[in-house]
Amino acid sequence: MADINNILFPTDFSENTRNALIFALEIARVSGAEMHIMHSIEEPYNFAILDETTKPTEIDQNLSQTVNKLFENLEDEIHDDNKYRELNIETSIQTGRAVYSILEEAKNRDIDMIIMGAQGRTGLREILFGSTTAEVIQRSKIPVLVLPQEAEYDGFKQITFATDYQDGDLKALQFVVELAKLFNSKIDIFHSSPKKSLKSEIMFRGFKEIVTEKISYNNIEFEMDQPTRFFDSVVSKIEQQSISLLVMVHYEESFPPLPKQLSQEMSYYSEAPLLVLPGQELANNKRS
Amino acid sequence: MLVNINEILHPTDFSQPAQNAFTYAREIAQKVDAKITVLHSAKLPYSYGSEIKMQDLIYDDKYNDVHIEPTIEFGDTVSNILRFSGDLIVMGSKGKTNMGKVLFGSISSEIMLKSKIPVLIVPPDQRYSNFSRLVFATDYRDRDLEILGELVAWAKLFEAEVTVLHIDPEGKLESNIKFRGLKELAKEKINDPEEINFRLIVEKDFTRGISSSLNGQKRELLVMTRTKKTFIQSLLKQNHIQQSAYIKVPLLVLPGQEIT
Repeated sequence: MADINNILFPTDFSENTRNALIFALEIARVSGAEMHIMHSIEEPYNFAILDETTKPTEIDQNLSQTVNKLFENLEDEIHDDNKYRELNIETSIQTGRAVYSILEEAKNRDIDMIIMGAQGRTGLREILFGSTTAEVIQRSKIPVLVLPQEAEYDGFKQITFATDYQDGDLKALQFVVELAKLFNSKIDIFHSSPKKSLKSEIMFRGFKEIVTEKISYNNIEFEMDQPTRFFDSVVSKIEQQSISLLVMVHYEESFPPLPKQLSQEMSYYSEAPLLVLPGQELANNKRS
Repeated sequence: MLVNINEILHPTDFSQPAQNAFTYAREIAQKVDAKITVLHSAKLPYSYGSEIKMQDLIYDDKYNDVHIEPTIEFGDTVSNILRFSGDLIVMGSKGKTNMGKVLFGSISSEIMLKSKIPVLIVPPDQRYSNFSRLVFATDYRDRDLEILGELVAWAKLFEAEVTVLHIDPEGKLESNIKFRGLKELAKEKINDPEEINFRLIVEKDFTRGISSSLNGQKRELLVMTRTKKTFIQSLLKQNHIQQSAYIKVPLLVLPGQEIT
């Protein structure tokens, strides 16, 4: 899963997703991936904004026309920028719950990474976007990059990889290294445990050993963990230094220092872009 | 815990398994230059027969350089043993009353579970021969590195090698990480780390994992910390096939943090 060939970018055309778009475009440009931009029309429709006399079929048509127009404008705008002139863009409109249509699209189009904004505007048409992000993270079988509204693009200079040494973490790191190679990023690997013990010390060393043996990337640093709670240390790291990208591996059963609810909350609290990788999928996937 | 052993306690009921264990006690005492307290718990306040048996037991030309102190105490065997303030207990895996049936007698089981000092449990039919391999089953507890350091020092006395063993039930990345990490840390923190072999065995059943790592040819001593939950479980599980791993090999049980 090292190559990024197809990127899925779900959008509600809000200001917030425009910020996320910058990240998506840059990753697409650098990796040479194709951009799949999608918009979901969710039921029930937001009747408030529609004329009371319009019939359902007309609603559909009206909506589709509007969305297509928005897509056209967006595509033009992207291609007008010299940097993105060569970018391959596909657009699609899906109906149904956003979460499912996003995951469905990801599967059908062989997507390698979903890139989306963390909060949406609930006012725009029928799309409730913010809550969708959390659910996509939880259900996705591929990496999801979440961009908070305040996130600033800095070329992914500094990637912080939070590990709990679980089964999929090595594969997850391999994916991140491929991304880091594209941007020439520095990767900082960090783990936090509530208290210092022989286990935490040998795990730090053991992981370093295995990573050094299996992954060839020079710009990786291992940070000796301080005995703190995971969430506290992540927050303080975000406050202290500039993190261009925070990477976490999400597991279905649990992510001990960070329950999955928290991992979802993270995408709201943090200003740093958050890349969530599906640990279980990576662990089960034998090809490297 | 294993360095500076000055006083060894050998509890005896004068049975054959106890006498076999006594040989271990004397051999170790010679190596580490310790004295031995031989303790017999008598049921009656005064037992003339015990005194004669004790005299017979401790007299041996071969070990006349080992200082032996015979003690006969009245009362409960287990509490008499646990009261001892020495550095190591060496005893048979079972005594007179529970020959045959069980692997560990009631007294040795209780001592293994309760002792605050290391306990060496000797199987009845394993005659003493210089250990050539100390096998330490680790669960990466906080003190395990320290213990490993002591075992390496101990192994020198017997000119034995040390094998560090971890039984991993699932074959997870995490376990590989810990294993590699311990190896690295041991290299750095322990004198003569080249004397240590490291083995990671993926095996659901702890006891089977242990027995697969004991080769039976070398004179092995199995070392475990009492914190190991599986160890307690396999001890209490009275299943002979499962426990057969322990039958042939002397077992050194080190007290750990108390299990709750």
